[in-house]
Amino acid sequence: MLHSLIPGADVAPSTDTFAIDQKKGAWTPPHTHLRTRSFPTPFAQAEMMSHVLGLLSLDPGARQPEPETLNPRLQQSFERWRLMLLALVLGEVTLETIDLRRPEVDNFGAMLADLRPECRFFGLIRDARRSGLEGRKLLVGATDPLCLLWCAPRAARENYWSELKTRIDASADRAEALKLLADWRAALDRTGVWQPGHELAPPWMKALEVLLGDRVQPSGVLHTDARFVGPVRLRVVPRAGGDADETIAYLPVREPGWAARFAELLFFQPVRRDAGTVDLLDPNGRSVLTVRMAPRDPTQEAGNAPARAAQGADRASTAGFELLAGVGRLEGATNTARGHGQAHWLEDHANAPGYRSLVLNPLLSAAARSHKRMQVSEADVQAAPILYPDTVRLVIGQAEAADGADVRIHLSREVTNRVATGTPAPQTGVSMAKWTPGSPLPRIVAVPGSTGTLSVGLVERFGPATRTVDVGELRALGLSLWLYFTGEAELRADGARVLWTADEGKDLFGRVLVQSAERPLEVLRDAIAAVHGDTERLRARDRLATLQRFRATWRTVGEGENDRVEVQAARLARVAADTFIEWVMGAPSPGAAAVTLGSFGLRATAPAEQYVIAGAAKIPLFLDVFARSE
Amino acid sequence: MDLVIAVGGGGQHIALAIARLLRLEGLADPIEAFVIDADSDSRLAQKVRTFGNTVTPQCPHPLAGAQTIVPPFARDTMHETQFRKIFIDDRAAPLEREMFELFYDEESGGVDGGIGPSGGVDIGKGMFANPSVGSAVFASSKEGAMDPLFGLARTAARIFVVGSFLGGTGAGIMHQLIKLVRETVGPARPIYGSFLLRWFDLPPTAGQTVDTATLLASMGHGLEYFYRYTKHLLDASMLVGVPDNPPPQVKAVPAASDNDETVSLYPLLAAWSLVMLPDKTDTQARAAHRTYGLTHDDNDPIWALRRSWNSPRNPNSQDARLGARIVEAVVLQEIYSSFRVKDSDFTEFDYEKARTTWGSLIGNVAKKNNTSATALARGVLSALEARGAQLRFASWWFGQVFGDADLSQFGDTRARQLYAARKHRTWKAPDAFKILVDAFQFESTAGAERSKLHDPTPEALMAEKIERSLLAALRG
Repeated sequence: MLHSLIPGADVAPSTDTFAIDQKKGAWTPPHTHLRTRSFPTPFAQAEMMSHVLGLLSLDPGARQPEPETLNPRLQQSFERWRLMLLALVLGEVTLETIDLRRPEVDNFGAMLADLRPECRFFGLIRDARRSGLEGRKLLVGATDPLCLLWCAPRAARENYWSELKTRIDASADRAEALKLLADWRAALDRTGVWQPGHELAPPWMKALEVLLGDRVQPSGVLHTDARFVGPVRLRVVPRAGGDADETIAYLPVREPGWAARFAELLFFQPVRRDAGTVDLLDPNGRSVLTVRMAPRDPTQEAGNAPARAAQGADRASTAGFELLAGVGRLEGATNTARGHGQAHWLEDHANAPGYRSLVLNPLLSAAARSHKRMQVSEADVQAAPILYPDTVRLVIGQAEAADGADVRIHLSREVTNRVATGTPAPQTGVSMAKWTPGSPLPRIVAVPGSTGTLSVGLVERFGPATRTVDVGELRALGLSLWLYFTGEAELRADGARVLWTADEGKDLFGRVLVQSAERPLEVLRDAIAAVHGDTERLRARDRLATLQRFRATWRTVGEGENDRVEVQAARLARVAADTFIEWVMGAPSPGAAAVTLGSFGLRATAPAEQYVIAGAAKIPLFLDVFARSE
Repeated sequence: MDLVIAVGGGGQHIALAIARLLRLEGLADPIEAFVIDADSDSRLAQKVRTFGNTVTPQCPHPLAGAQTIVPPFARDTMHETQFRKIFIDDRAAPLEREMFELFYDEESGGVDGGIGPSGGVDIGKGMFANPSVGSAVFASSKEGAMDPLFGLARTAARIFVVGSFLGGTGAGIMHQLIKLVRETVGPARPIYGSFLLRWFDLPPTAGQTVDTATLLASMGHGLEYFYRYTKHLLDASMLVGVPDNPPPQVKAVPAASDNDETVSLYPLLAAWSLVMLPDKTDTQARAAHRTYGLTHDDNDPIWALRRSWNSPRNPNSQDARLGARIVEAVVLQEIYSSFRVKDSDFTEFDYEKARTTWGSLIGNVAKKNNTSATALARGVLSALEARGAQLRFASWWFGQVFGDADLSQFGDTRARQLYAARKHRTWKAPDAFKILVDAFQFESTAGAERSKLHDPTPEALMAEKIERSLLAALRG
């Protein structure tokens, strides 16, 4: 009789040798004898977590094995994996990526990095609420390509896991966290690497499928309410077949409104720093946030331990590992109070490079190297956003969401002061070269005649229909034109301001200096204030005949060739006048009968004066033919 | 030259089997060994280093390189043998301390200031079946200690890594070692692996840190790791261990006490990989790595002796089976013993045709060395006896492994006849002198083969020549 000379052989041999191309199940120790230290690697805890997760069944009705109940020495379990993952998504634990070749990790870190060079950039999981060694946040786990997360073997003595279970399972946001993970799973699926049932599927994929199953459906908030942390290396199975592969992916942390808050950051000027970073500066020149653009230099961080730096931190190249080395990561506090920037900085300004030049394009190149591709396009990012940091994917997502306006604009303080989190400030305005008289009134207009890369923007209102922010700059400009029409306002002798002479000479609109730069047209505070109250609206409604002549006057303005800047400026004024009329007539006076404007009236045929924005760009100032007699 | 890298206790057992096979010409020369283990003073290690106390300057170790056992890390020069203190000293930054405790629990990694068990594993006392500790120590201190190995690997035609997935040291370093060797020699050089799974049992003793269940855990997790990370680095590999319901011939044997050699069939089967794996592997199709197992036929308990291991050259044998080599070894021992029945017959050349054969040759050599023929013959007899001791160390082990098996079907005609005479107790001392004289005809052919000895004495050279000539006669 023939015997296979191998433990756990399941088939009687018929030849003198036989192939053993797959690991035999019988070799796996029983649950009671699982022994982490028997794995021949310092990464034994990660291997054990992979082993334990690998025991899970994808059969929805299956009772999942719980070896930890039979083997109390076991520190790795699906239950702890579940808790740690949910804790990460809920922000209860944080993910910190360290370079194992940093001097602080010394020869232990160097040994680990030598052993698994691909794991040199190593994710540590720390509890945000518990203190550990020397007051640092308690280290409770780490990341691994196969199992995603594994548990610190000594955390149990702190009674940590039962306490974490209480926190996670009692969390009101737990269901939302699961949905966010379902979003993340769906994103992986779209990239073609989600195959939990594949024979080569990594244990983490299997475990996530067991955790979510078909019960949890995506909520579609990955692009709006999630902050990405990491990245981490993950083993995946390419759908096209072949051997298992690894990818670099970011993990989601639930943070409602994060994408909108991030969008606000693009209103701060990016400035490159020597330390391999780009700072985003608020209008006062304070750094709001830092984007890391180059890996940290361990030798510079050795501080008072240069000898250790020399030993522990070799100069191993980080080329190809930029994302893992922290390139693209946001650093610094994002919640510090600061003013909102008046210009969107995605594109270059006249004298300063923008976010695309300083941050986005270099990060796309770094991402290409990290993902081993020739190049990464914005379409690639949109197709697989979880492979890219927030500093890339949220910018591209945001550009996509912009309205149809086509000219980048500089905002006034009246706009930025009204920006509320969750309602991104406008970045572009409608060009008067493209707007034709008689078509719907634009809500944001790019003032013609600008010489820089940004046009002055005038904003009537912005934001989605459910959260519209009313600014009123266009109707306030229209009010100013109305006041001039009625003779209550005048152009100052120097031509720089239009003054409300009938009301203590208040400034209505004109030129202002913003950070030493002239803004050739700004609607000023008193004019804005006037259109946020009912007084001027009711006063105008009391002069319907005049209002009819005002409308008749502007109805003929703005015709002409689109590319002529004087035509564009006239259109701007017409938009403002019509927006004002729309406002005046839009809401009836309380208790008053509804009225409409007639289409007749004597119009002013030529402007009395013109406000020069720049060059030929001039706002005509019409005076009512009866203004002096009334 | 082929290089055998023997790792840990299992590796030493396989190295011993290979050495025995080489002594019997059961494997083809040249093979060099690099033996790695933390303990170079155990009984097993001594047996490997000295080939069972048979190695003398005139009778070298049959497996070159096996006289030295290299520790995987510089234990003797380590300031600390406590695993924790190898990494965590007083200057350790908090992050390094945190990292160490992230990777190792209290039992393996100890605690700060811990003494005894609370200090964690003391590697000076062994790895205690703790491959995760062994792998870290090896990874942190392999620099230097393994440099000679990498030098050998670069010049080797083929490389065989042998060991077991049980225990702490070998199981802990095997995978890293294969990775490092592969990185050293590049993808084109054939590297094969031969690994023992469970092949012995530990006696059930209360209170010990390592028991059979521990070994099985190391085996299971080691195999999991092997299939995930290591297998693809090898051109081919072989796994061999005790089946679930073994027939008596292939049962697990009790482990020898005091770290001595555990006599078992399994190290021999692992050594078979040196023949089998290259034979089965298409080195032009590297991606097609395969792992093999062996089959035991309990109707033929000596099937391993029936396999063709090596076809000896000069003198040639018509029988390449391992059994033939054992038969020759047994016969040679009997011949050498017969020379000792009455020393003077050999030393005074008091046997038929002595003066015209070996007596004349020995006399000429003695004259060149300014000594008497008798004195030289006496030295030759001692050298033959030493060679016989090595043969005995080899054939005794085969006898233990296969029991009192009848080998009369093996060997070339003359060897078979003499083996039968010995087996049937009809052997007489003159038989030995008769074949000695017959062997003289091969003195200038097989006997003139280049010596394998380094700085040999005339006596050792003559003994080597006689043995070669005798083998030629036995195979003729």
